[in-house]
Amino acid sequence: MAEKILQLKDISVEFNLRNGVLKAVDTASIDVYKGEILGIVGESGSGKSTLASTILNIVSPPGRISSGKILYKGKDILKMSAEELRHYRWQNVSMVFQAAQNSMNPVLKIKEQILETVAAHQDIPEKEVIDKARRLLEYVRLDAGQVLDSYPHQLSGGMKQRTIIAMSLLLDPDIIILDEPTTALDVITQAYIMDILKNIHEELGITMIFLSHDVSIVGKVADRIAVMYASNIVEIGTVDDIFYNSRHPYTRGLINAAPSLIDDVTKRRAIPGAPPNMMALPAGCRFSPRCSLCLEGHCRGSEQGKLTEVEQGHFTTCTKFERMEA
Amino acid sequence: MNELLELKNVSIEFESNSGFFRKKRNVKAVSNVNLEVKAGEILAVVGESGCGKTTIGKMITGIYKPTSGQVLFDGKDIWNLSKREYYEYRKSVQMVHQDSYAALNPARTIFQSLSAPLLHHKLAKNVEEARRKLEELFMLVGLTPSEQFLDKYPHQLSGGQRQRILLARAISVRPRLIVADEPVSMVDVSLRISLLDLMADMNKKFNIAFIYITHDLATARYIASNGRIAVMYLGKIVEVGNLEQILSRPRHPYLQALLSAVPIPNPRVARNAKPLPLKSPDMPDPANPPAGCRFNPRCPYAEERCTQKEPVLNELDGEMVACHMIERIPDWKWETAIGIQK
Repeated sequence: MAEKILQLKDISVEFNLRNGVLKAVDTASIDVYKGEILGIVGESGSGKSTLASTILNIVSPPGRISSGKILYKGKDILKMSAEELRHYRWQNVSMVFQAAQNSMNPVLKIKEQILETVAAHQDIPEKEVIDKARRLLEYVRLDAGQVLDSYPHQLSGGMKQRTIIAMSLLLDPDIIILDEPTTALDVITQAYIMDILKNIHEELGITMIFLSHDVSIVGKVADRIAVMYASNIVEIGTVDDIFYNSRHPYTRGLINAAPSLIDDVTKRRAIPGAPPNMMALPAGCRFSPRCSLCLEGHCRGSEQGKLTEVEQGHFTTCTKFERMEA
Repeated sequence: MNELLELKNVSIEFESNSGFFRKKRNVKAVSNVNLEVKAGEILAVVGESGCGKTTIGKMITGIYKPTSGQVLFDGKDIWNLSKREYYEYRKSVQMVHQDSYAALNPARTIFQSLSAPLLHHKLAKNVEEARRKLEELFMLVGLTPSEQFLDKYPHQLSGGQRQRILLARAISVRPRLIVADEPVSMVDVSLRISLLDLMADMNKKFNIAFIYITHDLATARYIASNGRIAVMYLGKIVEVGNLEQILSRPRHPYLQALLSAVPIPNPRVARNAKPLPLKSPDMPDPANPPAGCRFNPRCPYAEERCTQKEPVLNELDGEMVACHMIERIPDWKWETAIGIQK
């Protein structure tokens, strides 16, 4: 197995709110291997974005990382000094945020934003930076000359998103985190960007962590997938494990709930109920009130299972997964 | 069958905000659209952002007035109705919005918001009767026990619940047509199907026609599998007809590309997908659409006449397609586009 480039160990994130403590991520553990594409799937509020932000140690108050370790090449980033962190961010691990199209400075040309970004991290002559930016922009199939000289509002949403992806590669990071990189873009633009990301991965061998609520998109690019529900990682496995041999009723429900253009429409089923209120979680297994196993009486759901390896590299929190129909 | 609603050669132009030094320019959001909806049918209007699908929805509900052309309801122009007819029209055509939080008054309880239309349209004599009616209605849309919802404020409910409430509000005045504009795109994936099922249910039970406006072909197929679909591109309808027929044999090159781009929840299949049959991924500026066929700069089959003359919708095997090259466009098949058997 490849080298573990990033290890999250028992990470919890708490938000202190007026009416109590909200645990947005609850003792999540996962290893990221060098060169892989790891997909993290979950619905809104499941904690995937918060989990990703812990990797850069950018959880902002009232949230805080209340327990756990994050090891980047064996070094705990939660113990890094401010200066070390500044080097770590963007040079080792860069992140493309959700709605990154809107994260650009509207009064600076793309060229100026690129120079500013590099200057904050490294001392490289301007010309070299621009040459590199040009190469990267062409890499994401943009007209580099035109884009460098544009203001953000002169670019379409898809072009901005591609520019941001090019910028995230500026300092040759080992890992890129992509948080819903194609949400809010049209399907055609989305397919195009996914294609570009795949190419980048193949050619640069960069490690990618890909967050999305959409199982179909993640399934298309990822090597492994982690599924989150109500602040827990409930299942981890290869794409085949997750799609064709899932060991968690939620994962299976989520895949069956996604309307598709090719399957029989009558086979689609919604998951009953709704995601829980994070301030008043159900006792025991958090999925139990909606779980087919519980509803059919195969499980009482009184216990919250630990993430356990059930096959080589395939983890689940479900304790009664054998009862699931094939 | 009688047409419930008809758009006749409808166009709408918006004046874009002009700066002090800039020339005014007009944006034609919808251009020469013809479309009809029959009583009790489900019509999906599909297209990418900026194609004019929401604008069409707003013209049907009378929120926008077309610059030219007519919107006919029961055969009568909605901008030329007597007061009583207009009142009847407003009651008969309802809308469900995308953002359920924005569509409900945050300072009023659900009961306050939902009893108002009942009282206004005299479907309930008094507050007590309105409450009784709403309780029945909430059972119908799966919001039980209803007292848990009626006295709450919008922020106390989840997105899926609020969307059900919007649907209940639309149904409460017994409309004949509901325009649903992206009703599930802000709802959690695991709940989408149940909402679509609910709408299909209401369609069957009360014979309410639905216009389902979306960018998402998969949900359109789910709800309108027995209905029709209209595909829009830059303010024009490029293909319209029976949904199952069109999705299994798309004719217009734009729809073929769109279908190839839709993600499929089956990685073994998705990974074999071919590159998109498109020359460029970027949509032109809707304010300044290309001459001739609006799709020509991105179309892999475009020839000279496509850049000169705008194609019109022509009948082909029972559906309508607007493309000059239609005879020469290869059949698009799931098998070849994504490498599997359907």
